Parts: sequence; structure tokens; C-alpha cells
Amino acid sequence: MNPVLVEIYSTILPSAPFLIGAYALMWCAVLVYVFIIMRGQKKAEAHMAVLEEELEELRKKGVVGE
Amino acid sequence: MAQNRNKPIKLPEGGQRPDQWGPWAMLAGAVLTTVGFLMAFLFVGPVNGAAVSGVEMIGGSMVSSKLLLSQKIFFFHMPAAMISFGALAFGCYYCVRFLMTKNQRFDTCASVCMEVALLFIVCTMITGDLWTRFEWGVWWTWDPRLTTYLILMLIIIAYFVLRSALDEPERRAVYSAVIGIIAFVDVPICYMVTRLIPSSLHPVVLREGGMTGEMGATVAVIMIGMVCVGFGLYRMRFRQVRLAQRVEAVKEALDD
Repeated sequence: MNPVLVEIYSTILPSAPFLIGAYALMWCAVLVYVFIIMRGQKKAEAHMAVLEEELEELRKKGVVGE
Repeated sequence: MAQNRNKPIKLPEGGQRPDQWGPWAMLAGAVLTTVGFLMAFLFVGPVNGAAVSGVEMIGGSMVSSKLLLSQKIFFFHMPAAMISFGALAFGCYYCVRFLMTKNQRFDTCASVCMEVALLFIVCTMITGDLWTRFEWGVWWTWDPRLTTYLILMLIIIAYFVLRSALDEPERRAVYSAVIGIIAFVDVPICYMVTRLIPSSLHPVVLREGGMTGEMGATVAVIMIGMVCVGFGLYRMRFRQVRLAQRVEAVKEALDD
């Protein structure tokens, strides 16, 4: 291969792992945060459904106010 | 006890209209950042580095220097840093609002803003460190911008350590608000340090016009995408935290 072209492209391949790593880790960080939010949301929704049912029953019985 | 039974329960509200925009904002952000990513690699040409011992014709133009692929990290690095500053600005606003009103809702808003800011700071650090490792051969250097940004990250970590250390909600919110405001004080210092200390390794890109038109357009698309991602994350997290607070409030009401 042309030695000038070799020199011109000399940093392309060595930098590729760092570039891929930067983008991959960045999106991983965002996805982990989204996963934490989704998990927390599902957990809270499940708790809420159970508690609201219980609260509704107590309201019907007149134990708690409207 | 009898009074408690008949007292209406005041639940933390959540799930308002902006909360419903969260997933859509995330979707728009994902599309825009993907478009920006493709633009960065397919639309913007590589930046020139050190001169080489000759000239070659590549893609219709004469090239006499090394082509730097690592510079492509910049397209996400800079917008992530800007979004972290924006999130901190909103966080500071909510901290001030909390101190003025003592409304717990603002404390929640501030803590979610701080979380989003920390996430984008981590993204900025990851992209910056990998670029530094390749270009300079080191993982870290005490450049003024890096140092002030590290201090910013440490203040935000301290914010969350403090929050987890205090049990009483009122006291926790007041102390957190003060730390949140202190964190924001570091933002203009961090932003302006490259202008105050010109020897800094970070270039002053925006003011000195260090970008071509294609680069500017790509950064703009990614920036808008990241704003959408940041807003979407904020609303989704806020909704989740408020729902968790509602659960706690209902539990307390049932215990009473």
C-alpha cells in the first residue's frame, strides 16, 4: 500500500476500539438508568394497585374519609 | 385517631400531562441521536491531525495530514456536557423554589434533575476519558476543565450521599437544596474556565468557530436529541418517584 496513505490512515483502526467503547458505554449508562426507572415504575404500580383496592374497601366500610 | 379516620388523605400528585410526554420525548431523542450518529460518521468528514510526508487525493480533495477518527467522540461528548449543565440549572431552580416554598414536590424535582445531571456527567466522563486515553495516552490529566468538571461530579455524588444519610424529609430536603445550589455555582466556572485559563487543553469551540457547517449541524441535531432524551428521562423518573411517594402516603394512611 502507498506509504503516504498508510500514514494518513494510521490512527483510524487503533482509535476504533476507543470510539466504539465510548459510544457503547454511554448508551449502556442511559439504558441502565431507563431500566432502573421502568423496574421502579412497575414495582410502584403493583404496590399502588394493591393499596388502592385496600383503601377503597376501607372507604366503603367508612373507616377512612373520601 | 377518630379525627385521622375522617381526614381526607392528601396524596402526592403525579402522572400529569408532561409525564405522558416522557416516553415520546425519549423516542424522539432516540431517533434524533441516531440520525446525529449517522451524520457524524457519514456526513461529516474526518478532522485532520498531524502532517504526513506527502499528499494524496482522497474523495476529491488533497489530504496531507492524518485523519482522526477519534474526534467523532466529540459529537456526543459536548452535547452530553451541555445537557448536564442544563439539568443542573433546572436542579438549582427547583432547590431555590423548595427553599422558598418548602414544598416537597420541588425537592423531588431537584433530586431527579440531579440524577439526570449525574447521568450526563458520567456520559461526558466516559466519552472524554476514552478520547484522552487514545489521543494523550493517559486516563486522566489535571486540565482545568477536567478538574472543575470532576469537582462538579463529586459535589453531585455528595448530594446523593447526603440524601441517603438523612432520614428526616424536611432536613434532608433543606440540606440537599443547599448542596444543589453549590453544585450549580461550579457550572459557570467549569464552562468559562477555558476562557479564563487559555492554556487549557479544551478548545473554545462555540465562540471561536472551531466547527465547520456540517459539524455544527450534526452537533445541533444531537443536542436537540439529547435535550429530548434528558427531558424524557426526567419526566419518566419524576413520575416513578411520585408514584412511589403516593404508595408510601397510602400505606401511612392505611396504618393510621
